[in-house]
Amino acid sequence: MMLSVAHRYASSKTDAEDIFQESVLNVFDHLHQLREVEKIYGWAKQIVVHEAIRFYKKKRNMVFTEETQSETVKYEGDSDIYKQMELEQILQIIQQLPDKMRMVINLYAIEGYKHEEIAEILGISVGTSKSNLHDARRQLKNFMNAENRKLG
Amino acid sequence: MKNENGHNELDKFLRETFEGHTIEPNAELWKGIEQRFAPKVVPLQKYSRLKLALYGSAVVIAGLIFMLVFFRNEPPKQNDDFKNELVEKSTIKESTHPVEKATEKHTEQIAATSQLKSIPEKSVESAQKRTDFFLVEIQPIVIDDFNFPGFPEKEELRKLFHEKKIKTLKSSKPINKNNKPSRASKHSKSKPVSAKKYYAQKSKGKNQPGIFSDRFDLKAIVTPTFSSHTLNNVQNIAVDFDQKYFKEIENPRFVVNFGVELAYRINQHLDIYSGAKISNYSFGNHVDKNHYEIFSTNQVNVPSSAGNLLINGDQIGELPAQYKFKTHVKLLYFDIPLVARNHLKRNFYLDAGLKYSYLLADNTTGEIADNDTKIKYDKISGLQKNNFGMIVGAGMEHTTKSGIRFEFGPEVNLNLSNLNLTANVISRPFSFGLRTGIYFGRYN
Repeated sequence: MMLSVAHRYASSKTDAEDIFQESVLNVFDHLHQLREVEKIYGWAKQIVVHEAIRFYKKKRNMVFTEETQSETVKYEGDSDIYKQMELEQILQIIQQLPDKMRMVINLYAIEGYKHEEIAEILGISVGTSKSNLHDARRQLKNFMNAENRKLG
Repeated sequence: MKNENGHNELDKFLRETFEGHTIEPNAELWKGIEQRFAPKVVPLQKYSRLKLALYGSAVVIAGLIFMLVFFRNEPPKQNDDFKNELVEKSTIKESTHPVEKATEKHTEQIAATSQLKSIPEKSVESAQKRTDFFLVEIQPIVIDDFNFPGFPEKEELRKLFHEKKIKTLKSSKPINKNNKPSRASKHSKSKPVSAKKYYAQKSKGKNQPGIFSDRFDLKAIVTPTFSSHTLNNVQNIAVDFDQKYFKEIENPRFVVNFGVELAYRINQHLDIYSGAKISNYSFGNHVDKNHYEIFSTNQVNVPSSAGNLLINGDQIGELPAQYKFKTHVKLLYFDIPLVARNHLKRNFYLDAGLKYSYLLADNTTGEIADNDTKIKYDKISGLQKNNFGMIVGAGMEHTTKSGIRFEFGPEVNLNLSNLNLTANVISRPFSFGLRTGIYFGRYN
């Protein structure tokens, strides 16, 4: 589970494994802080998420910028194309996203954080969070369509 | 609207796709993790400090034993001339009586002096007379020689004197059965002294008899002191706690330490002392601005040099946040020192040794201000109970005319072990004070 989460947040397999290693060590170092044993999965998952954010903040100097988006931009191709794709393919597409978009899409779409919470976690504004999410979705669908055309 | 529905569907799809998804790590990845695991044992720094304290104790004890064995007091040496005279005049007669044996030998020794050259040849009677004579006059010299091999023990000698019904040393007149004037009255230049006075004068010098015996000294010690602590190795505390700015300022405070010590005199230059002392450490800590983030709803224990801070008491996970933290650390210890003292010239001394400290009370107070989340100051299980430290000092001893002895001089105490239970914050209290001591008993 932890490695799967690491893969989603990482841009490569190598980075994912580094994040996973650090996360495992952190789990064992701070296991005594876990008060409710039944919540260990959620707790370990959170450790991976924040380790991934730290990893990219420190090593990649991840910087978030405000980007204005137009709501009128249309998506190319079939919007349901992702439903036909394999999980491994989707994972690879997510890894192709820029770091900032990948973080936001994971935190919002998969982890279920709100924009306000994402803004606090990443140290950005709510507007930046929203714009990056928008960009991430658009980019994700573009990649999916491109992948679909390759398989064609 | 359509776009929003599409977004929601995408989000839902991604969430459902990756929910429960697992990737099995390969063997190489686990091997890499195993290599990075360090065994959960006593942290190296703490182990090194304890090991250093134990090695230091062993060296100090070995040094003291060495000094005790190889530098004990030697008997006074005679000059060559005197030795030659003794050899020439020495004609020790064999006698079974221990007093006679002793007096015969003493006779030859004393014969080297001008006073007793005319003593006639030995006989039992003359030996007895000489014994009587010697008891009164030359005792100050003879008694020192009691320790040479063959001479009877003091108790045995007293017993023999009692058996022969010889008057005690309290009598100022030399003992003379025939009422003849004794040689002591003709030849003695100094008045006969009583045994009590003699023993009182015997140990005149640097190391005087103490309250218990001529080897032990008991003293009371008061040390006004400034104390503070060294602080380093403040690390990130928890996986879900990130400190961005941490600045701690230490302010030393004034305290008074006191206790009693018992010193054992090994020889003229070396003492070793131990005792029981109460020592205080008091210093202020001020965290000007601590900015942190919490990524979970867990409460986080943040150790500091003054105990633990319980962060996120509301368990909300508010972040980012900051706070100011001000504490007054007040610790009370029971110390058992083990110190060697080297006596230098002119009553100066140097001290060096180790100590064991037991934490009796932690009266630290803390104030938190300007905090964004609920923070609770919690001292529970934050500090070490057992500590080791070292003592270094110097000073001088002074004895007044009335016989009261004092000592005073600077003293530095340093804890070698970490004040905290956690290795994330390493804090070692130290103190610098003026040691003042007063000896029990009179020293003349």
